[in-house]
Amino acid sequence: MENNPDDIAKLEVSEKLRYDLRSAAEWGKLIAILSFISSGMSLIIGFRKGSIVLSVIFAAISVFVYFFLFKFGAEVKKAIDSNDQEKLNSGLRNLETYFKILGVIMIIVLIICVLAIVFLMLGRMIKF
Amino acid sequence: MEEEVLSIPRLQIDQAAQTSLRETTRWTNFIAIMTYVLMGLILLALVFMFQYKGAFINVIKKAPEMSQFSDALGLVVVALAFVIIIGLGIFGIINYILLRFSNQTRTGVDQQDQIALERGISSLKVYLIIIGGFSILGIIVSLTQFIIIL
Repeated sequence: MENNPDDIAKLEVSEKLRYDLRSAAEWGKLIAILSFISSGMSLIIGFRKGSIVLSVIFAAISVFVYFFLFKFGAEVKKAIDSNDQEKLNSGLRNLETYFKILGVIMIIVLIICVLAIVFLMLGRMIKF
Repeated sequence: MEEEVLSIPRLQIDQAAQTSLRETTRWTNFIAIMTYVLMGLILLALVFMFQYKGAFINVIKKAPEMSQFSDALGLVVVALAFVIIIGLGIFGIINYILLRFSNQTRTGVDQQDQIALERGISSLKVYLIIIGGFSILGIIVSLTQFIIIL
């Protein structure tokens, strides 16, 4: 008798999980769309104030990050509505990518903060 | 006909979905913990600056031309500290919900616990609802600034 790993206790998308995933997907999609709008407005404000390069960089990063949250929202909602396993898996992969990118950005920000503190302390030591 | 009804596939959290969720919880765990570390550093900086500001305000108070404004300066510093602490409190709660999503979903996937998984996804829903609420507030503020600048 062969034991297929898929036959062992399965986690299923119960009614509660369907409801919560669908709700999470809708809000994720809304957050992404609001971020796209905000990036667009920041871009225009940046152009008017003359800081074009910085505005483009921040807008590009924001759009890139929230694109994956949008895909999570769109695909999981479609998956729940049409009972599509592939779409659900794809949506969850996009959620993973979204948080992965946020984690990497956090690491970069932390490194910059640590470097700034180190240079600040070095600067003070040199002054004395 | 009963066979047709029974054969409609139900969505499942299969191996691929479990792998994605496991990776997601690793990153959200990291993000939540690092956020708490950052918040702790901000609090420490606040305490340090608050003590330093006290000495600074005392120096300003000694100058005769600035003495009339010294009370206002003190109030501004206290108000700013209060706002930052409230902000950190709210942020801390949001972060706790993200951590709860991470821990409960991880437990659900690792131990094949349906209830833990449901709790985890429920926490994700609450987290996104709160972030969504702040995003709506943020876009209203941004729109106001945008209209003013235009």
